[in-house]
Amino acid sequence: MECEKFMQIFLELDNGEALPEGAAAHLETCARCAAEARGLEELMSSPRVWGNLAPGESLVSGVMARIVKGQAAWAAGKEFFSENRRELSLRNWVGTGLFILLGMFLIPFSTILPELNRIIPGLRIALPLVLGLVITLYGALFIGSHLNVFRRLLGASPPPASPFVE
Amino acid sequence: MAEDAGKKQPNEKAAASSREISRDEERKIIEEVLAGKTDSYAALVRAYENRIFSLGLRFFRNREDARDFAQEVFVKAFERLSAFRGESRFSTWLMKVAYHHGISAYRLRKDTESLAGDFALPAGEDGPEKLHARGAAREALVKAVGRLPERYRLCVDLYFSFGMTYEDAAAVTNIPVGTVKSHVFRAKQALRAALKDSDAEDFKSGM
Repeated sequence: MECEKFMQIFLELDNGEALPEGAAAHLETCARCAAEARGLEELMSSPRVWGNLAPGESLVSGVMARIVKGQAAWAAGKEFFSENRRELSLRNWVGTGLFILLGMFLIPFSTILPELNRIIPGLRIALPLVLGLVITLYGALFIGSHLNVFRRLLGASPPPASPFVE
Repeated sequence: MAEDAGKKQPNEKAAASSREISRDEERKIIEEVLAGKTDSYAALVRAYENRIFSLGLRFFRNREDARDFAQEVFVKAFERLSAFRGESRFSTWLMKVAYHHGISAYRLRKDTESLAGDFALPAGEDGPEKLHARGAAREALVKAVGRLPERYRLCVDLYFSFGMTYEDAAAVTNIPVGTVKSHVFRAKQALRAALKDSDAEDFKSGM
């Protein structure tokens, strides 16, 4: 193997990768390449010190304290929500949805709307926006509170375990 | 390299204090943490605190901010631990979390100088004459890395300073492996050319 070919292979080597057989054989017979490779290897490995600087005092206690604090806050939040959570039956959800739909259909027949339109001129533009927001909010709340049902229906895998276990 | 990192601190010399852990050990610790044994996580922090702190110095250039950064990274990694699938080493995954956290923090803090701009090489164990001769070669590597576009500097730094493989450096930075390889190769070529020059100078001065 030629010296230049060897150097090409040597420079292309990955960290921790061994020289291929032919190149290793060349290294044993060529003193010049061996010296050059040794010099380069020494220089290339010298920046390793800069990837392993100690932060002085260990970070362990600080990190663990933050984690424990986070877990306590998470547990407190979970407790708050579980205590204050109210289950809404499916019948109530459907009832609310039908009420919103019915409201939408009845609005054009209402006499209140022309009256309101006289007081607030831009109401016709604002009304679809308000209705859109109401439907979006209703849909988001329904999906958000029935995630497990949707997950089951779609055959998705259960969520991964959280490190914030009780 | 960070300004602070340039000054040698006594504890930096004993940098190899962090304990190496095997892949099996890592997996066992992660399983324990996910099962609720939070204290086990301390072993992972101990093993990788030097790496993450060193990466923090690349972004923040001072020890205090780098310490804060490292703590935030470990807490973030803990919170996301369930997303670690074990396809790569934990260290690579952790570096990825740290790199992205650092990049977003760096973008928020425009007061910092260019990223990894002071890529520096320690003097090593050579004597003063050899040190002088090799100085030019070291300088050449610093220059070669400094010439790279900012986003590639850190991936070359990950290869040289953190000893990562091409694939791991690419995975951490989301830069294609081929691009990482070619930038590292060019840096190595620059180093080789400078080493040849310095050896020639050595030879001349020795005559």
